[in-house]
Amino acid sequence: MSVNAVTESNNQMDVYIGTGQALVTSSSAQQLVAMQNPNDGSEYDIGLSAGSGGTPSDITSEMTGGSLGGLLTTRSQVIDPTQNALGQIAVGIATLMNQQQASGMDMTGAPGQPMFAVGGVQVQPSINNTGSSTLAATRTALSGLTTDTYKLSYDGTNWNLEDTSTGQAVTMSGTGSAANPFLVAGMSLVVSGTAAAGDDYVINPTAGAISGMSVLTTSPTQIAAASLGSSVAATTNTGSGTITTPTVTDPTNWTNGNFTVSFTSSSQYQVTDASGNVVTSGTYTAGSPITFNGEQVAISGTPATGDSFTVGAATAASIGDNTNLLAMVAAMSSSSLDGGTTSLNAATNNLVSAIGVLTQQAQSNASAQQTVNQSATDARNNLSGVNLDEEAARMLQYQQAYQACAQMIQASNTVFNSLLQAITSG
Amino acid sequence: MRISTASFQNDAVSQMDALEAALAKTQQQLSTGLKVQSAADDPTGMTTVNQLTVEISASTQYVTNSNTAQTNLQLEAQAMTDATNIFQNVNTLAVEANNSALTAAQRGNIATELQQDLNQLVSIANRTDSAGAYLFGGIASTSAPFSQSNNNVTYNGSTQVNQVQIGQNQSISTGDSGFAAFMNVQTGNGTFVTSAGAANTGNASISTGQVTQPSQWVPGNYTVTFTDPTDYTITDNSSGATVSSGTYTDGGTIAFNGAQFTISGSPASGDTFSIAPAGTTSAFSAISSLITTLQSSSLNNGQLATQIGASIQQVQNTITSFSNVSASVGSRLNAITASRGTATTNQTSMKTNIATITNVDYAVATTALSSEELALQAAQESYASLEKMSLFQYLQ
Repeated sequence: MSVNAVTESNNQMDVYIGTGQALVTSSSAQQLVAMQNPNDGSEYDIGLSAGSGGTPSDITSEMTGGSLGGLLTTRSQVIDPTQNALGQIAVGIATLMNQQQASGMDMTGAPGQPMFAVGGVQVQPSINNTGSSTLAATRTALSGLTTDTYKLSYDGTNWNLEDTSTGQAVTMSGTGSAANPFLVAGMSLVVSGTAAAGDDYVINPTAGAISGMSVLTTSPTQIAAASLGSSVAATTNTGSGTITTPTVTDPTNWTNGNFTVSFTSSSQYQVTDASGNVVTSGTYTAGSPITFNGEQVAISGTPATGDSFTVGAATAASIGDNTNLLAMVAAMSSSSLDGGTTSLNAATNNLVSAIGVLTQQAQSNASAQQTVNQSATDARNNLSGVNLDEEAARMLQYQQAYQACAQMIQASNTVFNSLLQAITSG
Repeated sequence: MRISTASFQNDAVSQMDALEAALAKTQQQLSTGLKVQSAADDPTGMTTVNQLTVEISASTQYVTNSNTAQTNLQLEAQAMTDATNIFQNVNTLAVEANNSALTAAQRGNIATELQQDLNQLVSIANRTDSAGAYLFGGIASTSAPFSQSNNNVTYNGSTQVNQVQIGQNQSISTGDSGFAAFMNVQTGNGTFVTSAGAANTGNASISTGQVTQPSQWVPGNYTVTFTDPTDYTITDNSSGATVSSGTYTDGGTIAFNGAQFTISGSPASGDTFSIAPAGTTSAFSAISSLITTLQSSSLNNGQLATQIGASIQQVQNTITSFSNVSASVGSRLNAITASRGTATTNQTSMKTNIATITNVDYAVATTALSSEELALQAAQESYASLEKMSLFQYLQ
């Protein structure tokens, strides 16, 4: 992290970290402590101790430089978003497969069971909340889910949602009650209990999905390859029309009943239920889907007036059907994420390239910083360090000066001796 | 300017470090053959590579699907060929039986042989693939689609067949339902069916006939009634109106409403022949009705000739129907070959694209390696020689 040292007038040094948090002032020093993030117990923040008994102040957002700053940036800009993006893909796979499973019949003749379980929406109440409210969040629409993190806070009268990844306020529909939940970003939020002003919750729609992901089906016979429905042409048909096995597109609205598609003319069809009520009707186009009862069939060829086709539930004879399996394959490549714009593959690719770009940025930052570091070290060494050649030359110089001085003494000694001898002998 | 000795040493070491890191990277590229080791080396390139990898695996699956579909369709084509061969034999037997000189016992022998053909046809129709799934059961592939009770064969399978994807936007059915292959043979001449009245006492027989002027043909049920052995009237059953009448000539052509047929032999007064709209019937009934005809002891020669004639027509219709099914199987096999060719070509070009992005260019990498080696060597040698350049060397 970035550290600044300031020399005081009394030659004492004060040490400041980050953007001016005092670590050492005159004779007192503060400790850095790891403190739990108020909204996410699994993540630790950097706190500056306020002495015994005091609450440390959270200075995480001030930590910008150095290895601590680097680690914190990696956590907030790489690890958390990646966890969210991976979670979104996991929710995508699980939702699409489970939905298709529900649209089909498995090898045992039973309706398909969910294939994957994923972890739910992560809701973290702040440890500073004083009210008694609780928040229940569930995912409702795959295409609405984002990889962002949200904060739901209570201002005393209203609940407000902020997308903390973008910093934007998000408008919610509904009132937050169980009967009329807040609907936002592919989630439904239900608040119960009494909240106090200032209470907040951090919501991660997808982050916990991966860690809670598991496979629920245990046998290949549980793969719902066959459609829930079946269809058959009346034996009395005189036209050449053929019907596809129905694909169930909306298993929740599909009912197990017989429907009849009949041609009132060679170009007009109508669909009637078992009691003879017309469910839908339209102009016949060969091969285009006819939708009713949460399912789709397509008729091709040239049906004659009076021809009819019965569409009902799958029978034992549908055991070898692969209609739903084909629908699973199609669902896996459909654009189902981010408002129906991104396929699972595209989401994976986006994630890989985002991480690649971040890594590349980090690498070029590191090499730039290394250059700065090295030239600064060189400049410092050039000021404070020594050059051995220079020192050797100086040493010779002093050595010679010393030798010269010694010679002087030697010479004067001889002179004095000679003089004294002359006096004594004379 | 003064360069501190520590600076000189540090700079020399860090430069050699950098050169060694570059050498190690180049060496790694050369030894793995990959230029892009991770997404950070080339984020956009890696995205393209991932996309291509997904498409290659899809394409590989299309080829696998094509191979499975091809195996199934080839089994079906073989079954249709075998069924056609049976009907060639049935045709020969029917023509042999269509001879008024044969005795009831001789006809019975032919019927016995036909019985074998019928049983064999049922076993062909109930053939399974290598995984034990019935070829002609449609999506009801786990239970035998055809059941036989005496000469009566019924279809219990599904009329729906599975589709497999053999290309990005191309699916084909892996077979035909038993209904489409064996139960959907048109009757008569495709427009109408002729038959002799059961109570006829004369020995006259009626041909299968044909429609010569389709624009004049009015679909419906008609009856040809002989008011006496030489005169006939044709009435429309629904209105009771006489649509045509004439004088009978043995073997002469009778035409009405754009249709024509011949009656030959000696009709008795009151004999009737009916003309009904054509429908569809099963391949099995073509054989079983012939067996019934040949085993019957109550039919006169005229009725026998009419019924055997109708059976021969039905056998011909079945052979035509089988050849239509075979043609459709053949066209699907062609589509498979074509799409597999496309898939293989695409895979090759996608693999080439991936190689262009990820594979190391050995010429470039080897050149880089030698220049980095040279630089490192120069750095080391210059460091070693400069390191000796100390004034202390000369002071000893």
